[in-house]
Amino acid sequence: MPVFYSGHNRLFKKPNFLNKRIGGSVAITSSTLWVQALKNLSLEIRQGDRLGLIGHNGAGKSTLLKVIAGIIPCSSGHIEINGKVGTIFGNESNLSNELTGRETIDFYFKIFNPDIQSQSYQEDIISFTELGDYIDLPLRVYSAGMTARLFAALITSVHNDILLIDEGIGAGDLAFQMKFSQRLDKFLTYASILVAASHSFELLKQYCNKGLVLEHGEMRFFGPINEAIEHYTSGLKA
Amino acid sequence: MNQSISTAIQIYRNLFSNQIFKKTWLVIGYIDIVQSYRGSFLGPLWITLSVGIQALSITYIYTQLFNKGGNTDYYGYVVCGLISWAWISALLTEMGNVFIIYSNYIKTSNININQLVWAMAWKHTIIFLHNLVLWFCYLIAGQINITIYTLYIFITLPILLISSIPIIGILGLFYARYRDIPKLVASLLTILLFITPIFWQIDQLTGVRKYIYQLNPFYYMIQSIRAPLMGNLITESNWWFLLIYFILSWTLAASLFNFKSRNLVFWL
Repeated sequence: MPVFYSGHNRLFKKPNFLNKRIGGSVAITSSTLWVQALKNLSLEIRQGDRLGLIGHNGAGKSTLLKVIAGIIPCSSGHIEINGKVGTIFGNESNLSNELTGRETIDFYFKIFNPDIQSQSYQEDIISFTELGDYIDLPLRVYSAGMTARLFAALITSVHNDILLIDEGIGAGDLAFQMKFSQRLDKFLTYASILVAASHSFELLKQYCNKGLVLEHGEMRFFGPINEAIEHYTSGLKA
Repeated sequence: MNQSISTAIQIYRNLFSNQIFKKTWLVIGYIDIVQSYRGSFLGPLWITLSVGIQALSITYIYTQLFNKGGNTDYYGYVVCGLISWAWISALLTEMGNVFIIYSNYIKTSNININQLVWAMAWKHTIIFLHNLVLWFCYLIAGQINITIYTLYIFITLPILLISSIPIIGILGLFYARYRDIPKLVASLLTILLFITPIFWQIDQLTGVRKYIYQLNPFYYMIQSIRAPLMGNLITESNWWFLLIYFILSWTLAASLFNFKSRNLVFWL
């Protein structure tokens, strides 16, 4: 994907990018800098797959999730998505920082699921999050874990075919992880696919059955989750 | 012929597709105003108050400075001018920055960007209606007279509001990509404020300047709102302007909007 101006310089001075340990592959054409976040990726994710994405920082995990969500268009190649996508990326609270928890639930339903009345789901979500009276305070006073609880409950309450999780769940505490695991199982009987990116191997083993290892944007391993974790950790030790 | 019709339909489908009926844009525009006035006691009343304070103070100062005292028409003239100017300056500054302001929506979800364009138009329609309360106050106070020509506002206002939607789209794309443009336009806005007849009236112009104001397209936009609100008749050239504006915006601007908006997320 093309990189347009960043950094404290107003117009970007292109660095050399030698010896990089993290980040995607970089190509510099005459006018723009391209970061090839995903390279030669060919993948089919089927119904019932729970895919865990593993890789170093900047390997392309979040980018892959965003491409599946439709947020980032593919610069080359094509992607085919069958089904409704729901995402827990951890940045949803930016949209509604001043709104209270209740208003946020209402707001999200109106924007992303306008056909459904939010009242019937509100009680369920509020009781699941265990936020209590915090639900009537604006989102900016919540901790990261509390917003994670709220959005995790919100997105899993409506029928989505594909669920994408990007590091957002990790902020929940242990009790939440156990509760969420049960809720996710129930959710995934309706939904088909889960794709989760995380650095926590316990989380991945708990939620996923397949693993994809990414390195600088390229696919290194695709198979059962335990073997994928094994591949990644052995690669690190080498 | 068939292909050009289908291309034309395709163009409209981007900015006026059945996506619009999902009403997402209504919620986004409304919540934007709600969120920006959280923590404030007077809340959205400030929208009306700020234009009101501006109108009253400028009217008072200018009548003292330039001895326009006898003409009570001037109070109504200034307030109607400022109500319409508030919308037009917002068109060039905040509405143009639509994708920058709503960048969180673009980066968090796969929302269709025409929803954001319509949401911004809706937000400023709400703000315009708040400012219209000021006009009502002036009406009650007796500074403005309404005539049958005031009903024209129900024609000109929707035309202006709806024509502005492709303009918001195009401006939004340019403002998001070339960040010099919003700064340039913001600085030119002060010049525009004095070139457009808001604080001065047309009959004050002398010599060759008597016709210069007609070159300013913003004059026609302001006049479309101000003339009905003051009970004056709208001139024929003004109607022509509205027609051409509507047609140009929904043809040229809408077709440009289709082009190259795929990379928008990378510009934010």
